[in-house]
Amino acid sequence: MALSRDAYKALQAVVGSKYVSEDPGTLAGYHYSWGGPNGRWQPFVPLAVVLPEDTSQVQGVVRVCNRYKLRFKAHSTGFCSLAFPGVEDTIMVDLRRMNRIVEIDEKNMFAVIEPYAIAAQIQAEAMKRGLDCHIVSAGPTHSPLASATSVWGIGSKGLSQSWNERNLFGVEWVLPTGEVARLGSPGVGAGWFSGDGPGPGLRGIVRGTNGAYGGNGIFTRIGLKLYPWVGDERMECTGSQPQIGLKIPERMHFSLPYWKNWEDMTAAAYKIVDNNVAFSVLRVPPDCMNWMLTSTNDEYQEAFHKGSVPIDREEHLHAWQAIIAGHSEREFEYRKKVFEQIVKDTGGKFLQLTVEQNEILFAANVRISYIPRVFRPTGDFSTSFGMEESINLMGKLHRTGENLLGKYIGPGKLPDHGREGFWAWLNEGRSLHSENAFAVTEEPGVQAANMAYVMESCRVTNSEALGVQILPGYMGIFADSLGPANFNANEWMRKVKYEVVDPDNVADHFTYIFPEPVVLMPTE
Amino acid sequence: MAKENLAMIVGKDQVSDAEQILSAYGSDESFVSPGLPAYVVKVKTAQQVQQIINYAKEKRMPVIPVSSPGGPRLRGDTIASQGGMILDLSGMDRILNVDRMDKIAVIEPGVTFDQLEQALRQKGLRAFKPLLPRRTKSVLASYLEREPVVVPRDHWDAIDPLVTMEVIFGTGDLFRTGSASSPPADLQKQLDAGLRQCFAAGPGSTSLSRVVQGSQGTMGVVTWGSVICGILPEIDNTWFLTAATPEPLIDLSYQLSRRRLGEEHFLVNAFQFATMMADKGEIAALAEKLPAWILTVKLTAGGMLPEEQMAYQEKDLRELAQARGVELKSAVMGISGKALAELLDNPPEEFYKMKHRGAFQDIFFTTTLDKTPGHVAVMEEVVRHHYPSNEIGIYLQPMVQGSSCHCEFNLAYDPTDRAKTSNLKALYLDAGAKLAGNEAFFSRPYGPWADLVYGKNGEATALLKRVKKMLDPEGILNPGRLCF
Ligand SMILES: Cc1cc2nc3c(=O)[nH]c(=O)nc-3n(C[C@H](O)[C@H](O)[C@H](O)COP(=O)(O)OP(=O)(O)OC[C@H]3O[C@@H](n4cnc5c(N)ncnc54)[C@H](O)[C@@H]3O)c2cc1C
Repeated sequence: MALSRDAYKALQAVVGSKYVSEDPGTLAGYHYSWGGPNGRWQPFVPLAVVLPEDTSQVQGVVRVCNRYKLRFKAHSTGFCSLAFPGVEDTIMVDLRRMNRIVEIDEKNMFAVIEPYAIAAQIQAEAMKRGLDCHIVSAGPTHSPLASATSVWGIGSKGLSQSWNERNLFGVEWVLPTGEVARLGSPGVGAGWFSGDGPGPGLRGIVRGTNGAYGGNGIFTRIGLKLYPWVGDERMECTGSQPQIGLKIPERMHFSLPYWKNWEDMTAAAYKIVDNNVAFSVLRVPPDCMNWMLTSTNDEYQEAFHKGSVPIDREEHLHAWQAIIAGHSEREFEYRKKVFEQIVKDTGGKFLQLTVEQNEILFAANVRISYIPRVFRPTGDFSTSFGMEESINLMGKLHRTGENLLGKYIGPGKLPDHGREGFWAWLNEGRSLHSENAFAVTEEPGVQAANMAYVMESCRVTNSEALGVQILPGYMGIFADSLGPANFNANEWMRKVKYEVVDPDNVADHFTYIFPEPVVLMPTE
Repeated sequence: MAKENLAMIVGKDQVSDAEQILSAYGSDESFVSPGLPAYVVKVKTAQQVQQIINYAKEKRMPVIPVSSPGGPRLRGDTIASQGGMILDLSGMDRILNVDRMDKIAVIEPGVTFDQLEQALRQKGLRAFKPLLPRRTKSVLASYLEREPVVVPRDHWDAIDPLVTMEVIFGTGDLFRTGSASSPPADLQKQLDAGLRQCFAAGPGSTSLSRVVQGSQGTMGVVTWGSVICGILPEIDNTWFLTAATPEPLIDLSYQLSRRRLGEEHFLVNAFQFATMMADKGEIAALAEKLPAWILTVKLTAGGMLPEEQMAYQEKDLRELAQARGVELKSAVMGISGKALAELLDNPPEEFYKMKHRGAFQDIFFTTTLDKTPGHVAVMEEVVRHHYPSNEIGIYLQPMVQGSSCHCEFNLAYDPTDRAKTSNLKALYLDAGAKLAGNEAFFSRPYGPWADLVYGKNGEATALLKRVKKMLDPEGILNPGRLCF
């Protein structure tokens, strides 16, 4: 269907004629998405894209959609692979003009942000005030608002900065019906410091392990928790593109300890947590670190075949990348000493890297810049085993993931880029986040293997009792397959969407929950 | 008839309609109007809870869940204002698991702080507690009410220290939240497989535990929950930092939050401190001699190098205090930090707020620490000519790692003096309204505060009502509370 002229004019009246487009060239950008379930070009082209300037314009657009029986889909930076229309007759609501950091409350350690304030921007402003912003592993170009309200929100500094489901404070929410709800303290005009109450916490219907990916309305402003930062106000870059590093500030230290097996590495993790000595710890596969430490695929391949990559697939398999930080010199020295003792007591060793290598990996950990390199080998990747449970499960998670992934690698299936893709970190020291990321391409065989592997990984994580799934998450077509094993979470999602938030299904449901169950493959 | 039906579910001895039993629930310490339930029903299992809810749904009979095994009950939220039954969960008092490695416990709703603390100590752990809870307080009920804990550095998010839960909604559906929702469904099998119910969000795109929290029993009945715990320190030193005005201590408190320095950490005025520490009859005299404001900080150390850890923390704390012209004291007016720490660990038999005049009202809300001097000024203005301003107990508890603050005013009164009681009631309502007008966020809206917040918050309130309809379509769970 084409957009009726009345609806088009109504949209123009809300946002101004300059900010509505039906130009096919422009619209093409909004149905292209890397890693989408249908390859790169998604089947539905939006009818128009609008660029609202503020909440009342967003509200106006949503009301027009209600009036003319259109759907809408929110779009912050569009970096996530899900910001495309999943159904017909959709208006894309591109929020790029709403890019303000409204406030940074330095004392109370939170920021008030709009959808297109990106993580890098918030981090830079926060650092000037001795604060830091949690950045998900997607990297610094994403929207923390989208992450905290609508997507996942997990990132490798989780040990000291938790994750965005928990970093969300007050919420401003344009419901699919066109009303604006303010959750928590902003609802009574008391500021943005809290998203829970009065009484029940409605953050619980905004999102869970993942958000609704735009399927429950448009979030226009949030309070976002910030965390202390002991490093410099302005970080000094070292190296040259693409091998950019960061000078390691005083009272911060980066190292790469490794152990002989998962059990020793796990024991060290518990001690690190109990002694509260680390700012962040992250495990990525040795190959990922080597991608960071080489500037091109060719350089990596050459080093790999010569056996000269710095991080060895076997010897350095069980390694944490760790940052130690102290608010005072005394605290820093104490933490470093205890950390070194922990590594020693648990049978670990430190891998010696050059200053340049240390700075590159330190930057990757602080600014969260691993992801661009993960794209490098094939231009695309996928993920599975996105679990969140006890630290004690680390070895079992790795082994199970590795065995399963191995079955799907081979000609016509997944490309062979190392035998494992196990990422792990500690969230607040209270749980382990883990996932198994792997390279894919657009070829149909690869995509089919990807889908089959992901669904099997969901089944296996359930049958092996490995915890609750965050990734690939309850996205639309997966929800009814995953939900029955989790006390019918899918049915509660359906009620939230169709009974509480969006009775007329105006917000595109494709990546959230369908009106009727869609079972791909049972995962029980 | 109802009695027989209920007895079929829980056994004859577990249902009572005896006046003397019912009247124990008919009124409490709050100004909420009294109301008698028709029955008190004691349950032992989740299955019984589910059957009771299904029965009540069919009969449209109100169900008011109560977990603490005894009073004094304080907030009017368990008064049966529309009859029905008190669902007494205090007999579900098992500690189902304590795990030292992951520092987490799984407990039933009847477990009290005393009971939990004892079990945890055997494993080298400790419970996160609110300030001097009454001895009979249910841990899960306290956490479900979002009572602030005195250890802000481990309070990352409003839901803490609660993690996952098993809950039976008003629909009769049994549900598990967070990582407790993952297979296998049997809790013991989960534990055997190494799962620790240690992740709060989900499952899926909802975190319904957040909706149950703060709901005053109106959304579902929790039958067990996992709760995070702290490590029992090897060394601890409790320090006092005192000042004539709150501002330098507020500044210090922000620094402590940033550094996550110290476990217990809160700010009180002299009268609050005296109410906590002095014997009955000696409160006012002690308050007069104390410094006007006292910041308490408990430094703890353990693990690999406890002495070194304590030494650096003390030096850092001293430096922070000195920079603000504040002295670090190990005792005030002969009361040592150790004595306070012991009291926090072992709250007294008599609930401390009742000590001064036999009854009290507390007015509390969420705000940020920097705004608290403004709230204190509003409160002083409200009480002028009606209540001695030097007898207001003030308690400021940083929450969510210092990003917000629980602000509480305690007013004691003699409940046998009718004039004073009615004066205090008027003052209590007036203070609530004025503070709300000063950006106080009544995030836990008991009794009359519900009207202060829900009216202001139109769309969110409408949304909340739809969520209530989804989880409790017949409106049987604690009707008359919040905006329901
Ligand atoms: C390479 C890569 C790696 C990633 N790794 C991680 C990771 O490790 N951890 C993690 O948590 N995430 C990860 N992500 C996803 C990431 O969370 C999102 O990219 C980001 O958090 C969301 O910001 P965005 O600007 O990309 O959102 P967008 O792409 O604009 O939108 C993402 C989704 O949210 C919806 N949405 C956006 N804005 C709003 C709004 N204002 N209101 C309602 N709905 C909205 C959109 O409709 C869409 O469905 C990864 C993404 C990529 C591309």
